[in-house]
Amino acid sequence: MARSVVSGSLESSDCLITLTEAGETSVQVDTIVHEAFQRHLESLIRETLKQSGVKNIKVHCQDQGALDYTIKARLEAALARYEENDDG
Amino acid sequence: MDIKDVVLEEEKQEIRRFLKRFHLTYEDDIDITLALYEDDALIATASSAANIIKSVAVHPAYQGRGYLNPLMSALIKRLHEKGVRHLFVYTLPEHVDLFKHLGFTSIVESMNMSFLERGGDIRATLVSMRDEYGVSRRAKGSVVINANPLTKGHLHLIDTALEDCGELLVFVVSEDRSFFPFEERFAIIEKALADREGVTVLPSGDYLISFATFPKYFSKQEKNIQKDHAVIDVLTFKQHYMDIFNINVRYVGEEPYSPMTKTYNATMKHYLGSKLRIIERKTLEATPISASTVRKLLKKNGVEAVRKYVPEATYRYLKSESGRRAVEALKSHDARH
Repeated sequence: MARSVVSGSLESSDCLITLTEAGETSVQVDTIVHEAFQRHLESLIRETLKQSGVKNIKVHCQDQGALDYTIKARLEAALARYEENDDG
Repeated sequence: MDIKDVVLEEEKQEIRRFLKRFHLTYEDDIDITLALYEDDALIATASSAANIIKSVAVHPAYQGRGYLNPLMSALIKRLHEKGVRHLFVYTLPEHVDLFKHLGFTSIVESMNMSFLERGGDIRATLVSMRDEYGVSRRAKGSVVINANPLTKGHLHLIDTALEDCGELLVFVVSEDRSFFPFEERFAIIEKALADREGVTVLPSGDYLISFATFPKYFSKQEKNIQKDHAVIDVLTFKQHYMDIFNINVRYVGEEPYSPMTKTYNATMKHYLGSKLRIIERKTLEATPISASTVRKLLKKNGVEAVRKYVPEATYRYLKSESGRRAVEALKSHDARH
């Protein structure tokens, strides 16, 4: 089974980040706030990914109205855990 | 707020009592239960049995105050750690929005029940299954069988259907709750049907379940609930499988014994109308052949006793190492079906 980790929660003002090993990098954002924020969240996630250097990963972010720094922290925590699980 | 694992029998009793006021039962097949406490008082609970979310309830005085989401987050994460990433829930239509807010999407909705999933997409899954198995775009017929194990009755159904429609999809129930494991049931069918033109054998996927294993965790009016599950199953088949695989007829065997299967067939007739054809069952010495009869005979009299009821492929499997083990287990167990 593909390596996969989650972080965060579905509580209000939080987000649940799921990272799954994949052939290429992709980002999917489902958000309860206005669509306008979707593109903003996507670029925030892509930027954070770029900084981490992790590739070939599918990021799913289920956003319950989280602020930028929450999303960034959740994603960084998930990425750290993902890297720890390197041996599967 | 404190979320705990429910493991002890006396804790489970507390959950049972809690669920009772919501007319919910605590089913035997539940493998994870979480409970949310506030100042040592039980506020909410959620469980799962394999990949199905069950028995979710929040104390009425605490509803709408944000207790469900942390509880469900914990359960979703726990299941994810176990490698269970594709989740399902059967719920009442009035609760659909709560689950949608938790990232679930709707598969089908009937008047009394809704069926949702999380971490999967039925349409995309079926499209890739269609391409993987090289299923044609032409109009065709279909049967859904559990084949636990495959009998001459199933072969009769398949041959009659094939003669009628010329091209047939045989869906084998993937859910591994039957006595004979899915891999074995599937392999037997592939072998038994190898020489027939126009037949494709496929796994049913996670979406069609054996009607005999419909969860029945709503204790109130259990009979109706089972009917509601049958409706959900038929609608899933109609709205997604028939559409994506271009199926215009579903064939089923007539049911002489089980009242539940009879109800299921009647439900199918209601929703599929002329797209359902009921095939008379094959009889042997005036007795209709069914997989449950075969299992009973196997249990009582062993492999040789069922030889005349099953195709060569099933007989060979039963005589094999893994088949023998399955029969031994059958003898020593009271399998649900």
